[in-house]
Amino acid sequence: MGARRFLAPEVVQTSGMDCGPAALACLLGGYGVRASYARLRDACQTDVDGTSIDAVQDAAALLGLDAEQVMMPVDHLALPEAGALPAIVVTRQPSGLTHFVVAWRRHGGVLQVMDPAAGRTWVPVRRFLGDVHVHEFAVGAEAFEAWARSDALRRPLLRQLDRLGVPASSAEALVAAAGDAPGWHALAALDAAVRQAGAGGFRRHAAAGEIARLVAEPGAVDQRHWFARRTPGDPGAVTIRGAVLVRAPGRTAQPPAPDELPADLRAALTQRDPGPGRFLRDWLRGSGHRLAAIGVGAVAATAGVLAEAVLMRTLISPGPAPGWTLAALLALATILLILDGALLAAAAGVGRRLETALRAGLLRRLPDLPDRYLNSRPLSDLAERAHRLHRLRELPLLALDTARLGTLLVLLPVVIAVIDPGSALPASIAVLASAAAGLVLLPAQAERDLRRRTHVGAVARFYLDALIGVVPIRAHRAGRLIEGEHGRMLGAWASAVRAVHRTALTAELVQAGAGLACTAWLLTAAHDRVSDPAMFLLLAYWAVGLPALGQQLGALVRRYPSYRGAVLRAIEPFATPVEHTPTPARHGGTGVAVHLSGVEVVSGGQPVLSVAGLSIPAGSQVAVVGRSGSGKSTLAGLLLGWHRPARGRVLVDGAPLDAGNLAWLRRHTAWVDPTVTLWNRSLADNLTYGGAPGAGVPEEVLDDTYLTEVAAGRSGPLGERGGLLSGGEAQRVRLARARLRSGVRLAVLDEPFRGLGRDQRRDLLRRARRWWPAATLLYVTHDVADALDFDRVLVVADGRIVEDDNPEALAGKPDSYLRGLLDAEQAVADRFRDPSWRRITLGGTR
Amino acid sequence: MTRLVALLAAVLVAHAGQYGLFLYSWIILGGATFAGELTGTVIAAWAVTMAAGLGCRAVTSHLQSALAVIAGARLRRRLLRGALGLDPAAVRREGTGHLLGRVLETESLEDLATGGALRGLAAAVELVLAAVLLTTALGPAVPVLLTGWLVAAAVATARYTRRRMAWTTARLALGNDLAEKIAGHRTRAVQQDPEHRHDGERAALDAYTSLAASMDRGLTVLTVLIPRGWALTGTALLAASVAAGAAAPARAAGALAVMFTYGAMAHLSTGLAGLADARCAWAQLGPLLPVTTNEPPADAAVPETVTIKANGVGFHYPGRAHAALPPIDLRIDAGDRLVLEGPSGSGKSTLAALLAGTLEPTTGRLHLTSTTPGTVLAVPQADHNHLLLGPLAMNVLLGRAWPPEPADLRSAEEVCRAIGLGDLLDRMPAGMAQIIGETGWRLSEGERSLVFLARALLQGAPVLILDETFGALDPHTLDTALNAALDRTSTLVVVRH
Repeated sequence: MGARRFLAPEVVQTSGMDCGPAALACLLGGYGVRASYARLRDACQTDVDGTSIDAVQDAAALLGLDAEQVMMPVDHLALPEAGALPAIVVTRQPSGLTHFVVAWRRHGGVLQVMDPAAGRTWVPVRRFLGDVHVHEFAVGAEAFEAWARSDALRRPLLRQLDRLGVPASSAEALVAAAGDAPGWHALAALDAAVRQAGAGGFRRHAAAGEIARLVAEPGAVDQRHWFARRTPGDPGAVTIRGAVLVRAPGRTAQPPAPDELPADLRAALTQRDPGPGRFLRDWLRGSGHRLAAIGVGAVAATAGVLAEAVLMRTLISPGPAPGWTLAALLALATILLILDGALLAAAAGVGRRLETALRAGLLRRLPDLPDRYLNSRPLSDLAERAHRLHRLRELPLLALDTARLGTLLVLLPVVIAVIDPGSALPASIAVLASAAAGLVLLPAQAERDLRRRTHVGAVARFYLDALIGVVPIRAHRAGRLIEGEHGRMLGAWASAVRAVHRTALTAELVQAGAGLACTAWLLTAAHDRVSDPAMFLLLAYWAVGLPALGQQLGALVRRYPSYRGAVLRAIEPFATPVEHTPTPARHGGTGVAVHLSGVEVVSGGQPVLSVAGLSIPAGSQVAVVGRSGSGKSTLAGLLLGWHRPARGRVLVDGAPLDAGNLAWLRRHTAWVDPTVTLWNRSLADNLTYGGAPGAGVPEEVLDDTYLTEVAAGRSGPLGERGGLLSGGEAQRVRLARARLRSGVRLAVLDEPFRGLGRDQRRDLLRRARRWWPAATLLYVTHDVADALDFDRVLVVADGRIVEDDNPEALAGKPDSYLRGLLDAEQAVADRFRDPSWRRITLGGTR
Repeated sequence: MTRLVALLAAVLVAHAGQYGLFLYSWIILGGATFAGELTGTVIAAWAVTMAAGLGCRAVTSHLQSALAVIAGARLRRRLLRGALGLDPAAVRREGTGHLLGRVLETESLEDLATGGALRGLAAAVELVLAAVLLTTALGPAVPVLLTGWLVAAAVATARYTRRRMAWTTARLALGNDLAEKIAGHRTRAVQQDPEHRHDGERAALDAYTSLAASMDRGLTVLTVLIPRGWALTGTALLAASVAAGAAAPARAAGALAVMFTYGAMAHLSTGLAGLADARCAWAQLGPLLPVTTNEPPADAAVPETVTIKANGVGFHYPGRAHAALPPIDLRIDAGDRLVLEGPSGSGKSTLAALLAGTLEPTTGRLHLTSTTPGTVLAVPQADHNHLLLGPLAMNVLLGRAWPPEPADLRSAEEVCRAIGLGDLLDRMPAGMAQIIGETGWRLSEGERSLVFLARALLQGAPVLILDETFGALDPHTLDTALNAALDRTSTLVVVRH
């Protein structure tokens, strides 16, 4: 326990932006601390934009690693003297996004890297350093000087000088001279000079001379070789450019006490992530007998192919062929035809069953998944999973191929040995050599393949972006610019693809060459022993096939990581804990009473709302105003269940808002918000959504929400997320949907009139306040003037309710916050009423 | 195109050489074995021939990779060009979830297409060579039977393609539905009746599964029945020739040829299946591809100032009951400041689109003193605008230059700070180089609309129309942004709701 393992454990990220927790889980696992990657993800507050490196470092330290976040020159990363490894290193992807990988160990010229996007890879040091993200940061000059004078710089410097062939005495002298100079600059200059001399190919005395020259004249050192430079305009600061990493040279002396850890981290230590193997076993349980039959069939089919060749041999032996061989051959060909067909059909059937079961399971589970699970993952990432589920149907086919290949690998050397025992050795060597050659070259191939995949992903992502953004791209006439950027990405993609082909070809030639040599040896040795020409030809036919087996094995193994990733991504939702939501029967016809006490909501580690005490009586109508980002939507989100208070209580009709009450409340809530989803179905379907299926839309509702004309001109679907409607039209559809809801006890209207004109807005607000007469109504808006008609207004600023009173009364107070908001709004309106603006008013009555 | 064809021809020649050498090595070995003249020299000759075949294989592989890269790059360029020429309405009908489904089809397209085509062509070469061998050994019935078998393969391919097409369409529909449900999970949670949460799901899944079963049957026929059936036919031919008393060497040649033609047929059918898959993937992209893919015109210099006159300009979507914009008269002079107001649906955005030239008026006449494209820039509403996944600098310089000159970067930063993004720039670790977009640094609604404003201002169009750009801004931020916009535009039209 606690020793650093030789191999970094593989932790593969299941979501596009989850490299942080996955890298952390790997680092921990490498020191024997088993932590659940899925729970670390929650603990590190991983979101659609990824994980903050500070959160990773904090979690690592809390879980018992001696972790520290540092910056260093990129080329120091791989130097043992810099003590950088093992570490989570920030790298840069082709798309420009940063990515976390674990650099675990150095083995000669190769680094053992665990890339959460794919698993363990072995990367040449130089190439890895090329991927490292270079960050620029200003640090205090004193702190930097202390670092520069310590062994942290001294030892890597001496090592680099040694590599350049500078004699030890000269190297010591150079470092000492730089150290004697006051301040940090001389040391930074030496560091930069060493880098430039190294890049310039100087060696030995020439290097020493060049370094001395550059140190004397630091201006001659190219900008890119400097790790530290003066910060313009701030003599007390140093700007450094280098790699960012969280290094963890060991574990802390004191292991963490689980009781003292935050709940998320405690969960990370106690829970386990699901493995693809066990999951597949569970899902394939019903297909067990089919899989067994497929396995037996695969062995039989392979044996049949070998038997076919043996029968062919009797056929081509000199002399008349026995009649039974002809019949047997024909029968065997028929059997193989049927067997192969049945095998493929059976494997495809199991694949279909697996895919269907997964899809059905996912659809069932989706409504119960926690809001945070779906909201903290990029939409494109989740949508990709939805579109890629079908890949799992290929798994049984893959298993079939593997079973056949495995059987052949075992049987072929055996039958060769039966024909000619003397050929057993060369035959086995041929198989082993080609398989070994493939396996030796596998890491190189895997590394290039990963690189190719990231480039493919970046190009596809760019293409998707161009599609979604086609409207602004057209408006800005940015087509050429986009094509240019795409072309640059394609250039990088092409060289990645070529590298994959090159290594694949090398592997193939090495395998085939080794195999050919073995085959030639086998035949040379065998032709004395095997006198029957037919037998000899059969031997040759099989011997030639041997190297190909090694190649096929390599191809199968290469496909493994991508399927593992696909399975992990597909099963992740099933491994996420869900809450059972019972729906208690509740009665009572009026609106709900809401009471908050001591409530604090935290998001991303930051408090976003705190409410000491708030009571909203049943049936009352309250306006909530404040600037955007002030926390007013969070208040509404509390009632809808999007946020859980970190502290305090939310009571609805006197009962705490637990899962069961939340389910009840949601059924009786009319919710309007610009984020309410419109479905790609007809307008009528969208309006009656949530009500009884097949209900009609009364004319008066259309009239009420200004939708009569919208409805008249339209019969088809509204587009994904209502994309075919204008913003104002879509908002009115959301209003009408809420209007049609029955049994409403709570109405949450959050910016319900976005995109609508002022007159329409006032009119709709007046109507909406009468739609659910008994319900409690919360009207959230940043248009303060709208709130003046209410009896009560809550003014939210910086996550607090700063005012809670009658709006007219507040507006009358010159120093009230509400008055300030009103004045600011008026000032904006006045700006556009200024005579320097010409006003054009379109339309009128609609 | 000629380069592609030349490469393709070279691949075929190299492959024919490889396969020919492979067959020749067997002729050497088989001939010597039956003649009883098998010596170390013959085996050495055999090994040299095999090694030469390996050399050909290396050349083939190398050419194939060049071919795959060129074809792949060409395909991707073509797809992007097509996407950029799309009808915006078609894109609005489909959001991220749907488009992603299509884009994912492109990922494996070139592998399938080049892989399938090359495998198919290579198999055709093998088939011809092996058929020659087989005909020599077993007589003239071979070409006739083989032709019949190829026709059967073609029919099986067509059948499989049809079924896969239906399956692919159903699969995308299921994926879209699931993606839509994921994106709308909050709406489902609050608004949907739990009793009806899974309505229609079972039926859609059952229909999909039966399409999949039918496709799998088609695949079994193509990739098993066709090659294995040929093996059976070949074996029957061989049996007939043996029964007719053929000599041992002829029988040996026949047996080998049956095996080789079977191998070639197996390659051919997998190649055909790959081509069918590529065809189906391509069909999903069809709607995204316009008929013509012209080069976008080079940017002409836009004039400093421009005057716009509209006489009775109106717009009517075909098939709608009411005009999207009833005819209006309008004159906009250089240096004008205009506020465009009106209720939702009164045609404000339509008028903006007409002025910018993205729509053609259905009535009236619009006259601009300069018709150079890019003279009028109408910034789309935030809902229809988009941040590309990339550096902030690229996003704001979208209408200007990328990769940028140092001067472009300087003015980009200057504009960003002037309109009130200074705070954000200081907060982001990489400043202007920070990656924004879906998975990049997250921006608030207000910051997003300021980025759109910066993008518009940096393009420097003589007439700028801002559609609801200020809607998400606080009064104070709006003041700063508006002042900056006024300083940097000649003619400004602000659409306000």
